[in-house]
Amino acid sequence: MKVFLLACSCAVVIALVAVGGLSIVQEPVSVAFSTSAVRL
Amino acid sequence: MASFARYLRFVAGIAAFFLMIALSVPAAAQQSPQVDPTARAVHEQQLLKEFDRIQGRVTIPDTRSGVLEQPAGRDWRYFRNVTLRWIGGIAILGMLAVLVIFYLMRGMVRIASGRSGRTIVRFSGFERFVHWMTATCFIILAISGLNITFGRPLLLPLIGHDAFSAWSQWAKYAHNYLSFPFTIGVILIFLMWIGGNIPNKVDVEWLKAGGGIVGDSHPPAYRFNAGQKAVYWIVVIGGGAVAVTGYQLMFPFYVTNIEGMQLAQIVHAVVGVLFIAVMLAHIYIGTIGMEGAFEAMGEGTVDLNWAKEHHSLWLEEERARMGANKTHHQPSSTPAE
Repeated sequence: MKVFLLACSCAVVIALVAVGGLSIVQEPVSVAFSTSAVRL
Repeated sequence: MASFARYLRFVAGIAAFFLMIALSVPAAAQQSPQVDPTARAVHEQQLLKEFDRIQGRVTIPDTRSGVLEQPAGRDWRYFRNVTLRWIGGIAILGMLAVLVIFYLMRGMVRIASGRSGRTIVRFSGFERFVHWMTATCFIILAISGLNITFGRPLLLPLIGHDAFSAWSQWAKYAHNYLSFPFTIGVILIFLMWIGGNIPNKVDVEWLKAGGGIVGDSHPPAYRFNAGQKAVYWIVVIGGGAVAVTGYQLMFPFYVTNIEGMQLAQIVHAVVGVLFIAVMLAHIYIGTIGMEGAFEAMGEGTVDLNWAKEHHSLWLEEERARMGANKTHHQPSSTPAE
């Protein structure tokens, strides 16, 4: 049971790291698909 | 002389008249289809067949938004909305039906000689950690992935638009972010167990004997039998395929164009639903399908008699390596877990 909980915790931690990583790599829609003249 | 001049003007006038008629006939023939709506529709179909896309120019930074029509997208949409649902439904429901029928006919595969009360280590803590990390991620990825394919026709009518929208948004987040620990898990599984999963002659004999599942024989096997090896390679190859295609979809236009992403989605979805079907069988045999099997991943140990019956060659190797007395006593009245 400890191994299972540790595995789940580790998956969550890696997923949270992915959240941070993806927010840096990928541009938000307002930047990627419009100009500064567009109000979204 | 004056009459001759009038004659020439008359001939020239007649010639000009016929020339005008002659020139006007093909022009009329060309103009008539342009005002025929049916002919215009045919012309558009020919256009769509000859070009893989119809696009113009746009002023926003994303020039790809200039694509007005991509005919292959219709085929892809039909696959996604119709074909994929048939493939997924048949694979998953078919596997569930087979497992239910098999369980009703065969029941749980018992340890024929009963529990010995002695256990042997089957999987280390790290191996179980990797297995459970990958498995839990896979279950969430499977449910959230099935929601993409089957959620709209099956779940939306039950829970309504608001709840379905909120659920789908969180499912999409989970699908994207948990793909990373899943991928790491697949890579670790590949590296960790590749040594024991190379097919050999023992696997042929194991398969000929039906793996001991069909019938009452217990064909010998090393640490992983042919069935487990099949699951291993399906996880490695299938997991690798869904990871590669999934990241193509997660990073649109980074690697490929729209046609490439449509192909990636098809591969991702088909491999995904087949993967789910296979994992249902894996979960079945690891839980209610075989006595003593879950303990291997639950606590890391298995009963000696279970090891003798299902992995006799592995048990011999372990005993030769560690010594025959390197087993743990357990009260016979309690399971090995």
